[in-house]
Parts: sequence; structure tokens; C-alpha cells
Amino acid sequence: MSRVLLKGVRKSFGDFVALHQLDLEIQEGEFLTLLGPSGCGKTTTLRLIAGFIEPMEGKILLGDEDVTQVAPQHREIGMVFQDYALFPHMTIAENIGFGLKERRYPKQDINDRVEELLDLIRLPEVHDRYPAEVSGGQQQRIAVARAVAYPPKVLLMDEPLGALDLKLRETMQIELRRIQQELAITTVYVTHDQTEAMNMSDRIVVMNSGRIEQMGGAEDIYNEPRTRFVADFVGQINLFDANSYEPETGMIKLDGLDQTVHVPVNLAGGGESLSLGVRPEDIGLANSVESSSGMNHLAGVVSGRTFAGNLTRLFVDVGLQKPVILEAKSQSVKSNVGDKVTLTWPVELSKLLSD
Amino acid sequence: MMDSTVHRSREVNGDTLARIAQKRRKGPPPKRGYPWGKVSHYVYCALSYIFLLSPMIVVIGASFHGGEYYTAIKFPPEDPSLQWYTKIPTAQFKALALSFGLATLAALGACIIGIPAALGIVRGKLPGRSVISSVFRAPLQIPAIVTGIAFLQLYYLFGDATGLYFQGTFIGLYIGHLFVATPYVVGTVTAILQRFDVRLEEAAFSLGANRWRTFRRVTLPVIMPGVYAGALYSFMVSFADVPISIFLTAPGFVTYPVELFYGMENDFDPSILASSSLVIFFCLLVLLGMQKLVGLDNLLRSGSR
Repeated sequence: MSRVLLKGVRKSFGDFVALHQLDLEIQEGEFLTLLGPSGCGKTTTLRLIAGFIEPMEGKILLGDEDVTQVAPQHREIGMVFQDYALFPHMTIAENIGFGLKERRYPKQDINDRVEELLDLIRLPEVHDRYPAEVSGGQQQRIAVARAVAYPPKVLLMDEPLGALDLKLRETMQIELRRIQQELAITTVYVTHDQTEAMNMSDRIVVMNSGRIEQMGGAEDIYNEPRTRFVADFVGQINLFDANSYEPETGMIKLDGLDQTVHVPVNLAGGGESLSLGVRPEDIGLANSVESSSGMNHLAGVVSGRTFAGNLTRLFVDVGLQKPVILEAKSQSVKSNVGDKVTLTWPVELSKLLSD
Repeated sequence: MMDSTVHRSREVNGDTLARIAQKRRKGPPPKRGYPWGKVSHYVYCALSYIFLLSPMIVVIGASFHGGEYYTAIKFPPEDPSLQWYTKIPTAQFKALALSFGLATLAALGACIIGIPAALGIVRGKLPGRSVISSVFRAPLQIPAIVTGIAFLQLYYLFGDATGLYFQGTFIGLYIGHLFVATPYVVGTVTAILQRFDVRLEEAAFSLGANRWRTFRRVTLPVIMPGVYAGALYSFMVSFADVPISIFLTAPGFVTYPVELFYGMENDFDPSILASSSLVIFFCLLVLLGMQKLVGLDNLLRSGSR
């Protein structure tokens, strides 16, 4: 178990810059998720830590050791791939024991360790079967067992749940987290699925076009996104182009609307390109237009309504191109398409975002 | 302007829909009739099999001829007996042994050259990769008889220069066979490598295996079906070759097909059919054995991911 440190790491493929000057530190025993859309550099980062590719600049440290120039087979890492990459010609036991056999452990030790791991992943009977003979979820767990059989300094997972269906994915999130905590193993997890990231991680690193946009715990990222990108990528949000933030009063002007709204005072940031973000679940409907302090108001007409079981979404046209989305418990939503409504939300839940 | 184009396109759409509706089937859907499709399928398959198998059936059948000596193939055989099987000349058995050994070594050599070549073609980053891969295909595009003459000339030139003459020697013959056998292994292994998931190798690296161990324990077993297929082709090509061997063999040192060729040319008798039939049976056994041992099992496992 060990920490991982990336210092000023840069990587490009031809003209495409995959990573600009990345600095990242992963704590011992931490479950860290790299979250971002495809092409944001998250997989590149993982492959750099694994040693499958080399950085053009910068250093990679595993523990106190500089491994920048060390080949993957000497880095003592564990890697789990999206489609598992189990060896098709070996039994499950041989797959799990592969790393130990390569390191010339005695047969008895390998067998014991394989049994122990099959217990850990709760698949004791699959021993002599081949990867093609077990289900996707089982292959997934076997891939994890194989990666941790020889305790790695860091466990790297590249979208390991991407090939599974939704229900199984949710179970596997809990399962992976359990295994990770039981082994107290430093883990770097790559995904583009924000729910997955929030469910499992100690810390999330949101990446966009080769840079880190924001890092922090799931709640920080969701409740206090700093940029428009983070707010939009993690969860659903209504975004308004805005300008001229006044730190003393907290007032900002929305583009395309003849109206000002309030955000918390004395926020850092500001500048020319600003956005206001409001989560759909933070918006309510006001009975009258009377202004109560601490609340923002915006008038509009309901243009659509969708029912999603426990929640109902209203789409409200406030005179901008995109409707404002509001989300509430189904039984509390009475408005229908065509109704004139007033949207309201607390000032402290208004998010000021930079680009 | 905008409005009118939008309007017109709507009209056109309406027309198309009307035309489609007009041509719609009227009346109830047709019932299933006599299955002509199925029948013609079976007839087609049967004809194909007859076409492919009839030469062998004739050869095997005629080898059981029991009548008097004759100089043409008699099919169906009269008075079936095994007499010609007892009259196979020993020269044919000697030639068979040579051919078998030669083909086995040719297949082996083709693998030793072909597997690394295929790896280089698929994985390598050399600028002239496409040229190299067509060089490896070239022996298939040159008529074998030309290859045979070319090798003979080469050996004369080489012999005149060094005093070492390769024509009529095992080494000389082997090099010629290797030349035509290798492209088959390159071809099949290239094909399977192109589908190979590189992440299997990355997984092996991450588990502490070095390049050689990764090749030995992961890459090679997964591409093995391609290697078997290529080796089998190489074996067949070498075993059946006449046009190259005929130039590179010498009296008393003759491969099986060349021996048969001379036999047919000079004094034909049904013992040739008898020995051919033995070879056919032997090949069938080997193929069935391979299928059981490595074929199906291996292909299934490496194909599923």
C-alpha cells in the first residue's frame, strides 16, 4: 500500500495534447476516481501510472520510488480493464494465480492465495472453469482478484463496470468498494459515470481536455462546483449565462433576461464569462411574486412535464432558449403545461460558475 | 422562400407515402407453400459434395481392382481385392518417408520464421511494413514452377561460386519448400493477431510478466489456432508439391508426389492408386485427430471474449 504522486506530467500523442502539466497526489488507502468525458485524459493518466505509456515531461512516484523509467512489469501494480482481459486459455484459478506464478511463489502458496481470493470475491466454485464460462459480473470480480493476488502498490481500474447492465453495475459498485476497503488498497478508478464516481470514491478528480477541473469529495463537487463544466458534468443543472457579479451585494445580471438575481456575497471569482447554476431539485414554485429575502424569483410558463416515478420534472419557459428544469416529488407537482408559474430558489443554493 | 420549400418538401413526403400505401399488399398474407427453398439448398449441397469427393472415391475405389493387369483406371472395380496393396514398390514408401519428414520440418520452420514475421507485420512500427508484408506474400503469387527453376539456377550459381551444390540435397529441397510454406503461417497468424486484444498483454505485464514470459504464456497460446492452421497448410503444400521438388530432387532421392508422377509417366499400375488411398486414409485420420485435439476446443476458447 502506498501513495502515488504525479508531478508536472505532460503527455501528447502527435498534435493531440492528452495531458497538460498534471499534478496529482493519491493518499495511502484512498479510493480516488478520475471522472470526465472521453478524451479528457483520465485513461491516459491511468496508463501513465501503470507504465504502459511514458510521460514526455514530469515524474511519477509510487511510494517513495521514482518509477518514471520503470517498465510496467516491475512497478507492482494491479490493473483491471474494462473488458477484463482475462486470459481465455487459462482457468479462473490460473488467471488469479498468474501474478504469483510469474514471481515464482511455491505452488502451495499460490493455491492458498487463490482460494482466499475466491472467498473474498464470493465465487468459490468457479475454480476450474474458463473465463468464457462465467458471467460478465463474475469475470469482473475475477479480474479484480487477479489484480490484487500479489498485493499491488496501487490498484488501477479502467471503467471496470462499463460493460455491465445498470442493475449489476450498482451491485458491483458496492462489491468493489467492499473489496477495496477490506484490502485497504490504494485505488485509482477511471469512469465517465458521475453516479458511479459519487457512490464509490473518497475523492473525485473531475478532468476536462487534459486538465484537472476540480477535486474533492463527492459532496463538495456536487454542491460547490467551481466551473460550468463541473456543474454540468456532475449531476443535472440549469445554467444561465450571466455577467457583472457584484461581490458586495451578490447581484448578477442574467444574459437575455431583463432581470437580476442574487448569489452569495463575497465569492471568489467573477470576471467576464460567468454562469449561474441552479440544480433542478433546488427550485420550487412560489405562490405569488412577492419577494421574500433570501430567495430568487423568475416568472415563466410551463412548457413540458415528464413523470419519472418518484419525481416529476417541469420544463419552464422563462424567455431563454433552453427551458428551466425543475424537479420535485411527484405528488407535490400540481402545475400543468400552459400554466403561468413563478420559480423560486434560495440565494445560497445559487452557484456562481466560471468557464 | 423558406416557408415554400418547407411546404413543398411536405407535399413530396405525402406523395411518397401515398405511393407506398398504393403498392401495399392486398388480401391475406400468403400461406407457406412447398419448401422449394429447402429442397434446392439440399440439392446444391449434395452436388458440391459429389464434386469435391468424386476424385477421391474413384481413386480409392479403383485401388481395389482385382482383375488382370491393366493400364487405365477401372471404376467401379471388378472383382475387388487387396492385391495392389501388396504390390506397392518400396521406393514409394521411401519417398513417402522423405516427404513426411520434409513436410513436418517445413511446417516447423515456417512457424519459426512466420510467427515473428507476423508479429512484426502487425505490431511493428517499421515504415516499410506494407512492403514487408507483400514480400512475405510473394511466394504465393509466383507460379511454383518458376520458383523451382529459380532455385535450381540459384543453386548452380551458388555452387559454381563456392563449390557447394545444393540441388538434389535435403537442405536444398528444404529451403525451397520453406520458401513456399512460410507465407501460409504468416497469413494465418497475421489474421489472428489483428483480432488479438493487446490488453491481454498489458494485463500480463501488470502482473509482473516480462516480454518473453508474456509471449510464452499469453500471446502464443491465444494465437495458437492460427499457428496450427498455418502449420497444417504449410505441411500440405510441402507434402503435395511437385513443381518445385521435381527440379530439386535427384534419382534415388525423390519425394512422394514426384515418385508418383514418375510412376504415372512411365509404367502406370494400380499400386499407385493403392498407395494414394493409404495416404488419403492417413490424412483423414490426422485431420480428425487434430480437430479433436486442438481444433474446435482451442478455436472456441480463444474466440470468446
